Amino acid sequence: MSSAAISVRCWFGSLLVAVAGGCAGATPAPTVPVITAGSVCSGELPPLASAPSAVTSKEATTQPQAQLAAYVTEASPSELVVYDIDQGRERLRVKIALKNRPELLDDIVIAVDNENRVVAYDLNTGELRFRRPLDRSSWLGAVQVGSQVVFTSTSLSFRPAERGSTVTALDARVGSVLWERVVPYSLSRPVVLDERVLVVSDHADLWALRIRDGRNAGCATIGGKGRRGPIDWLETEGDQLRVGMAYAQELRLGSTAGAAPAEGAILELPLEPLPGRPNLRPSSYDSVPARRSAYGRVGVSARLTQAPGSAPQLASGHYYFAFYRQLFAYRADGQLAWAQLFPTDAVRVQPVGDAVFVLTEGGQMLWLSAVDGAELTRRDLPAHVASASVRLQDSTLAHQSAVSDPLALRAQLRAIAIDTDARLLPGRKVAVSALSTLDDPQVTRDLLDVYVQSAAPVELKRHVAAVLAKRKPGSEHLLAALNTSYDFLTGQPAPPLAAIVPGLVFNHEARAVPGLIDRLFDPDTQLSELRLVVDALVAFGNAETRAALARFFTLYHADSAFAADASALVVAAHALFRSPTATDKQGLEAAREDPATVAELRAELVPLMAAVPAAPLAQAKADEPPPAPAAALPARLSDEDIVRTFAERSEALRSCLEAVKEPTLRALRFSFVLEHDGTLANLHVWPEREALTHCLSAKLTETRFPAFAQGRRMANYTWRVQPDSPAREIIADTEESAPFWRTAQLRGRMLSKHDAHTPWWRDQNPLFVSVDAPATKAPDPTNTVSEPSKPASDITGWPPAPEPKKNPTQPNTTDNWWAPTR
Amino acid sequence: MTRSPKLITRACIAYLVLASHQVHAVDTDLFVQRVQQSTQPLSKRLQTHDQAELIIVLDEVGATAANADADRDARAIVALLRAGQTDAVADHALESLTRLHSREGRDGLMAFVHQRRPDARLRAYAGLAKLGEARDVTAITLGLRDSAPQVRSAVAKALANLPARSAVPDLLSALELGVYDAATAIGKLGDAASLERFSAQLGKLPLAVLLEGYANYLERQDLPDVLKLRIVATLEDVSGGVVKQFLTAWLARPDGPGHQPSPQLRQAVATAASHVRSLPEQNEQDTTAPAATVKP
Repeated sequence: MSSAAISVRCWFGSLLVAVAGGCAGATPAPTVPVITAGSVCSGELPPLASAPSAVTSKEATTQPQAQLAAYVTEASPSELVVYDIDQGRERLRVKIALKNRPELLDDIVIAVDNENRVVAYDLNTGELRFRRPLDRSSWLGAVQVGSQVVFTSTSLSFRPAERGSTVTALDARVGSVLWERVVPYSLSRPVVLDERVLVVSDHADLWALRIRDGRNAGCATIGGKGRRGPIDWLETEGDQLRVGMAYAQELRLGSTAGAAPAEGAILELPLEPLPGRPNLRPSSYDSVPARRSAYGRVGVSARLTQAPGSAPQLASGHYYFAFYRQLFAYRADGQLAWAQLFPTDAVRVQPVGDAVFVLTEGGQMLWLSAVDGAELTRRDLPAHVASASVRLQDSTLAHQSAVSDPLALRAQLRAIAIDTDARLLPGRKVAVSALSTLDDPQVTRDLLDVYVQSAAPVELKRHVAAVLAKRKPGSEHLLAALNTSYDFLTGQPAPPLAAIVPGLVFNHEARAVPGLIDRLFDPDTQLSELRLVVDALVAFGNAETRAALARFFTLYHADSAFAADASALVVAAHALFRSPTATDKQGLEAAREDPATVAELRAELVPLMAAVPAAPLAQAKADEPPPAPAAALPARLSDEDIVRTFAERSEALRSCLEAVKEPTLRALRFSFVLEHDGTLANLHVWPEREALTHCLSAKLTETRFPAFAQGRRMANYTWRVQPDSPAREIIADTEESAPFWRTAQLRGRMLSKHDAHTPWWRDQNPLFVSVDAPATKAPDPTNTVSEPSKPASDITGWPPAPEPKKNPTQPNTTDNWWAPTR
Repeated sequence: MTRSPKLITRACIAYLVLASHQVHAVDTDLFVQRVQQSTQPLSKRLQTHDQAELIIVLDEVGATAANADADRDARAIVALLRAGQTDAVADHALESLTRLHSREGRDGLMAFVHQRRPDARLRAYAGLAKLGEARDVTAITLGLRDSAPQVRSAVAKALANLPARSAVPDLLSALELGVYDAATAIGKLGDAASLERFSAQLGKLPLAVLLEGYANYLERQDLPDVLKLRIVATLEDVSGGVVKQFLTAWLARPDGPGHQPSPQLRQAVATAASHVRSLPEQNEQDTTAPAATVKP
């Protein structure tokens, strides 16, 4: 071989190597990071570190930019408009149906149209820069660095091949693809830091790509002790990188390769009480639609600043919560500073300088003072806006002087609370809560006005009533409202007692007594509210209230108006009985004896009157140890407790039998109601014997069953009284959710012919018995029944256990037919 | 020994059975006379829990024209009411108080105008109106502000028979809010100033309702003819079959204590009746159509 040939071969070989190397540099073989052990940062990716010689994006974009608003009009067909705020003119208006909210980048406005194409227009000329199809269905957002546009798109699908995210870099001038990274999982929208594109994966891992070629620039898993849960958003400001969710935290990339990012101090704002528990920033994983939606209309806005090594701080000391037409400005400690109600929804809220910028759906651009919400500047757009992005500077527009009104906050909150927009209920509740913290007595009047609004939702009324029940200032307004009454001619509604009375009691407002008595006898006081009035009169307890309650009780004890709900009468009866005068006692006894007394009340009066009056009882209780807390009581009274109590009282009950002397009487059936305090009411005895019932009733009303925590229960008890037969007690629980088969069991066991046979469901296979006998403990001899033909005395023993003598190998007394066979 | 009405009733039934050996039906009215001969005071007879017996006794009270013990009976009934009764007994007791027409019953009636049941309030207002005391007019007028429509209606009717000029503004308000029975009372009580506000309801309320008021205005002797002539002119403007029928019927009424129009008024009505044409049904409906929007 000649030297020339060798040299050509060497040259050709070098060329191949060079080409190969060059190609490798232009289109790198993508090393797709895979999620290993829950982290995208596999060993293939280098650790993420700061770029020592990086030119920060802040430095790269120091030139002042014009203030712009890019918005989509609500008209049909919709238009994309770019408005120059400084010059007050439109830079661009084009009819286009957009799918995503437009984004203002350095020199283009970019969005995705309804045909899923990325479109970009030049901000200076208004010309179309490019239009190219988007492979994935959702566009998350873009950044521009020089002549490159980097964006993330994502798609959700049950097909693994279609699922995943793509980070794409385009040439901002022509839209050609410079590089692309595809992963089979979700990524956030990108941010730029130190000439690298950062995205968050799996809400925890930070993945960096080189801007110029898309190669891996590192990966870091963020999960230090200080972090408050997953990462939902990330942002950069200059050379600072912040991540967060409801919190904000600075991340500082390690200066050396391999060092984990240092997680800085955390800013946490009290966002939990806000409707929907919003995050501090919108999610970086969400695609924002161009049409009307909650995006931009509901959420928190805050401008953060940061000194090195410290936690992020609120720039103007305020953060803002937008809720459609409402805007609330809070101080860092969560105190409400001011609030505004706009005629139309706020489409965009963005803090700027010492102001907050608001763009409303109606096209108003407002700069409001961060301190008190006073309007600094107003500009109007000539269109209704569906969605918008803005690029703002701290300009003179945000520094106009405005006169603040010290009474503004109350008026602002009242306007929000009383507004009848049905969507705004959560915001109205926020306003009501904020109003209730103000010391101005007039606020009480405002809250009552909100309550009596005919269009006020029940939830709002409840909230108003709750805050009024704990409010100190403004009792005079509650009193004034209490003293009004329904008037057909003037349209005056009945006073809202549910909102008034608890507050008066809370404030110990004794001046309310005459008004409360008026409402007690007012026919327009609702039954549900009457109970509150009676409770209040009991709480204020004096001779006047006592006389009124007695009069009320006597007048209405038999009135059908209380047939549905006699709770007010019952409370009055209890109050009168607590320390009864002779007249009270007479009235209570008369009501108890009156057959026309409302059934619910009568059922209460019988045990009440049988009990020891409360005054002596209170004296007796003073010597007793403190009662067990309610939590210690059982939730319900068990059948065993009832049987045991009857057993304890059996001797006393038998004395009643002797009075009747009826030898043919074999059993008695009791039906009754047990109150949670262990008293018995509504006793019925079968067969009916007047003398016997009277005697038993007296004995049983003296009886105290074990107390229990929840409500009351109905129960039946059958008592075998024949001396020559063993006692048998059966309780049929008619109130608790006893399974239906228990009733069937109780009924079925009465038929002796069934007891003579082994039940059909019992496995009679001797092999099963011998092989599959579960290894349980030996039967308790006290539970065995010597005569299987007789019904068992305890319902819990049903079905009857097999006779041990016949089958000694089967030790268990229950038939586990449902257990799997081995 | 005291004898209850039930025992008397049973004795009477037994007597009839023995006398005729055949009883087809028992009418309680047959025993009213016997029961009223009871020497027991009403307060004693009311001391029972037997609802039926209470109602029978209460229904007997005031059934006769003269009752020497009206005040005592009224006190007994008021005591019964204050002791708390079932709806039926309370309603019968209130009616008994109304029949007794005793001032002693006033306090009981006054207390029941605030009772929770509208039926009881209605009876209490009716009772107070029957007493006819001028001092009660204010209290009765308050019934126009009641939440129950039947109570407002009954009060409006009752005021028509009372010297209740002071109630006219409230009656006019009630009429505007759909208490149609107020029209009659306004016609009986209203003065010249009230007529303008009353006539403002033409086209808003049913014409038949307003004509009841106009009829009473026209019969008033205390109002000048000028006012009545204005009413006739207004009706002539309204026109229609209903108005023509009204005017014709008014002319046909013979003169008497309640109807003594002046010749001038009679002439005006006759002229108006001849001018008014029975227009098609559409016109009548137009006049009354807006009434549907009035709050009941």
